[in-house]
Amino acid sequence: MTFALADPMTLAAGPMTLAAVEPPLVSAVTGLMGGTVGIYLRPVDDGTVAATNARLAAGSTLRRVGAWADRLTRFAETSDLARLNASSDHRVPVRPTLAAALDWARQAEGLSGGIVDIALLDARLAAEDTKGDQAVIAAPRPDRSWSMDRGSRVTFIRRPVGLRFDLDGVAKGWLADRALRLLGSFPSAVVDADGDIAIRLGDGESWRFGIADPRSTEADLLELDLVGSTVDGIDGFGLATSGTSVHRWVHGSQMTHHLIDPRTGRPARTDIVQATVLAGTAREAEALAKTAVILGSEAALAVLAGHDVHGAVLLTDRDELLMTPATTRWLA
Amino acid sequence: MPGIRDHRTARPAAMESQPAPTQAAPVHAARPAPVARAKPDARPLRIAYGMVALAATTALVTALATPPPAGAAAGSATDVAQTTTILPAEPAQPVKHVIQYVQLKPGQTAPANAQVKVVPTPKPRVVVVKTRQSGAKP
Repeated sequence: MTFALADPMTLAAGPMTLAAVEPPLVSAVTGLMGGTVGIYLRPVDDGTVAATNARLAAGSTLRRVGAWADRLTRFAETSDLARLNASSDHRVPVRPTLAAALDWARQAEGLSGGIVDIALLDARLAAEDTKGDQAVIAAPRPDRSWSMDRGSRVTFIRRPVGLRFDLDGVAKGWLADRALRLLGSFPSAVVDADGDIAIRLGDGESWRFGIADPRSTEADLLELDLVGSTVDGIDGFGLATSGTSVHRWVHGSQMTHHLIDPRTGRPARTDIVQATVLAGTAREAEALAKTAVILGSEAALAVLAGHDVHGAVLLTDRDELLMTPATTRWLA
Repeated sequence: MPGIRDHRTARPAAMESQPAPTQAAPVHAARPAPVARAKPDARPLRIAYGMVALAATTALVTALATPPPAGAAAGSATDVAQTTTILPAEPAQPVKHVIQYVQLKPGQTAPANAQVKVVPTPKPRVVVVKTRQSGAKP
């Protein structure tokens, strides 16, 4: 940040004021969605009332995230998503939270050129089934088209009977963004939905974020210093990572993973082990990170350049670290 | 109760001189018929209301339909000119704008003779947040 100064005395007070107000961060972390969800807030001032308000807001937001996740999970039979998957009707009514998440899934499909596809649950379950024969189970379902009839109170999903959905990371990025909106009264706030992170930083405030190295638990792959800036018009970030090294299974003589390529219905054959994307929102970052992994490094860099993301870090199976040019601005 | 007439006991004198009514005769038939009071004539007032309404409507239509007078389109400019003439002749107190500092946006250059100072980037808060490949749910 650069200032042109006519009166040195005036500027002298500026940075000192910025440095003086640094109330401690308030955080709340809990186990959700099969992982960890955390909320990190900077109170509006360094008073005890502000800190208490921040703690209350963090706790209530965590509870809201838990309630939303309960509706969107496919692992609970009582969830809205499980009811939709189990329905024997072509046209199924869904409640607003699931409707909104499915609406974003529809948009993510367009954003990714069809690579993000939530209607691949059967293929994913087949990939997880280590007792099956991959050549038989991986046949993609041809009729995966579905649509939404959005109403003011009830939304109807039209899909072939038996077509089942898996929101997976699509829901996590969406949840992180939605939770961050609840914390709009805090100048700086971060919602970490198990690795998919929604970030809002006050003007001039800088927070450091790590990118986990899938090859080691000892050190991070990289660290990014993100800075809130009204000058650049950046009012928020989304940081998300996807990859093939955590959810992977031995399938016959082959190693498979959970990221299904909709073009083949099989686990993607890719040279990317892990992709991290820094975008404007967590949901966009998640969708593009997943897309990058499925497409592979060459196509991924072209797609990421087309979406004008704030940054991207790709780790290949050749131990190469590829970055988009904009990423260097944020390197710690 | 003094001062309050008891309707059950006070009868008009004329009724007392008449024979007692038979059982079939209605009681009210024995009372004298009320005299209809003449109502005031409402027509003059109605005519007056009509005339007022007609006058108001005529005035409203005239105001809407009549084209503006010449020069009315430049009303604001005329107003300004008139306002200027009533101001005192002596010039207004000059306002001195003092720009103490400006924040340069990317690509901007500092004004001549300005002292340029680079503000150090604030030390980043190291948050324990790490992006990673997530768990499988939901």
